[in-house]
Amino acid sequence: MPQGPGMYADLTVAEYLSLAHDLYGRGDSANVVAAFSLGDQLEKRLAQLSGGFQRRVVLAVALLAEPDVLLLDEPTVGLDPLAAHDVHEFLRQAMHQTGRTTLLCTHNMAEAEALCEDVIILRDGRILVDAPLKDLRRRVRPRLRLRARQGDEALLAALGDTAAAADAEGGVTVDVADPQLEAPPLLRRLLGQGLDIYACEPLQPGLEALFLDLVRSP
Amino acid sequence: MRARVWPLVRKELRQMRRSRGALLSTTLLPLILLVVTPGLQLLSLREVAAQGGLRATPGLSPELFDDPQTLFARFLFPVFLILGGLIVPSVAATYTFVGERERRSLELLLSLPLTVVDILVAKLLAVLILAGLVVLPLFALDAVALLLLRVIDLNEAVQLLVVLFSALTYAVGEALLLALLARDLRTAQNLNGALLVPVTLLAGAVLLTVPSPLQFVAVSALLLLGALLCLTVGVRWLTFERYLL
Repeated sequence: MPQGPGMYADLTVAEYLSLAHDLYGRGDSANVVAAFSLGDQLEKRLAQLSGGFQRRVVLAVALLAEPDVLLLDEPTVGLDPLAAHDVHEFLRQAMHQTGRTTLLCTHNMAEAEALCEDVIILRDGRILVDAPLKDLRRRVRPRLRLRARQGDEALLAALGDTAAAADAEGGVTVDVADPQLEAPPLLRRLLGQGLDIYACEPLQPGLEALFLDLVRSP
Repeated sequence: MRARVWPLVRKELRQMRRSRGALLSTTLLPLILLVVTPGLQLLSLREVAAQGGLRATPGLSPELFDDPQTLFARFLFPVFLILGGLIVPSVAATYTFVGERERRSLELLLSLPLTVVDILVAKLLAVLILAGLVVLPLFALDAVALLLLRVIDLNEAVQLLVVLFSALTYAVGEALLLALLARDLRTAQNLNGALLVPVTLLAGAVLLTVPSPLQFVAVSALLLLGALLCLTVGVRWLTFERYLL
């Protein structure tokens, strides 16, 4: 599936699916039409469809011949969040129901996190990382985000030598090795010091943070 | 040829049929070149013949000017026939090759089980089929009319058909170069001019200077040689990147 391809303004969805079917020489058109909810769009010209539906059609064509491997190049680039969400849902179906191997090429870290199990990060044509996503998450030290009624400065003062910093989104983040083990004693200590802690949330290290760490490191 | 080329040929023909601009250009131009203009010329020349005939220009084939009908059958009509055979495929090729680039729909084709050669062959075939469907009936109409008026004989009609096929072949070769070189409509139009005008002038010169009955053979050979040259250059340059980028 190519990245943001152009569209045949003068072909209908049915004609495009029929062309792909004839070229592959196999495939169940009715099945992909049902899977991608294209039944009402079959007689519409491709140019009349929204970006999300156009991408669905391209995905349906890519899956028509039931390939063993699916190659996706930025499948949601240029789509609005709702259409991107729809495409993600269809991709999950396509990947998980059949156990099909899918290679997704993307700059969108949230998309990679939402859809992928294994990640390869490339920079200047070299592989920086090649690992399962869950292993990558372990490489980034987890953090807790705390919020106190007295404010971030009072919270930082109370934390003392503990590795902590004010967070751009508000509150204070604290580096911990294991949030489940370290959060309860930390909270007891802060409450004991008279701080009114009203929020404590473990932050799941994201792929974007890891990516930025990797590409910024010398 | 691979069977999967035909679905693509059908797609190309369907798209051309649905493009009002391409359809108008590929039907109106040949109608003007192959029916309207030759018809008017024939009427004028008959008028001239009635008023005493033509005078030959020194250096040009004198036999052409013996009779206005001979001038029409051996020079004027073949020139328009060649123009018709060249223009229809080049207009269709501009639409199919440059249109695909401008719509950025080439990527859709390349994500299907097709090679660049399949795509080019399908497009060239579609161009040839469309040109044949438009030009051959018009030629048949001309040929029947000219045979009935005794302007040409059956032998000349067959030779003119060979000239038409040679012009179509040249135009297909030219279309391949267009596919490889033209990135936009303006470049395509410039290329069409650069490749069609010289060969039309050269064909006219051959028709004027080579004596009958060799003139149709010579002009067909010239067009086929040009086609071979275009196809050789096209095939030698043909790479995945050059067509895709």
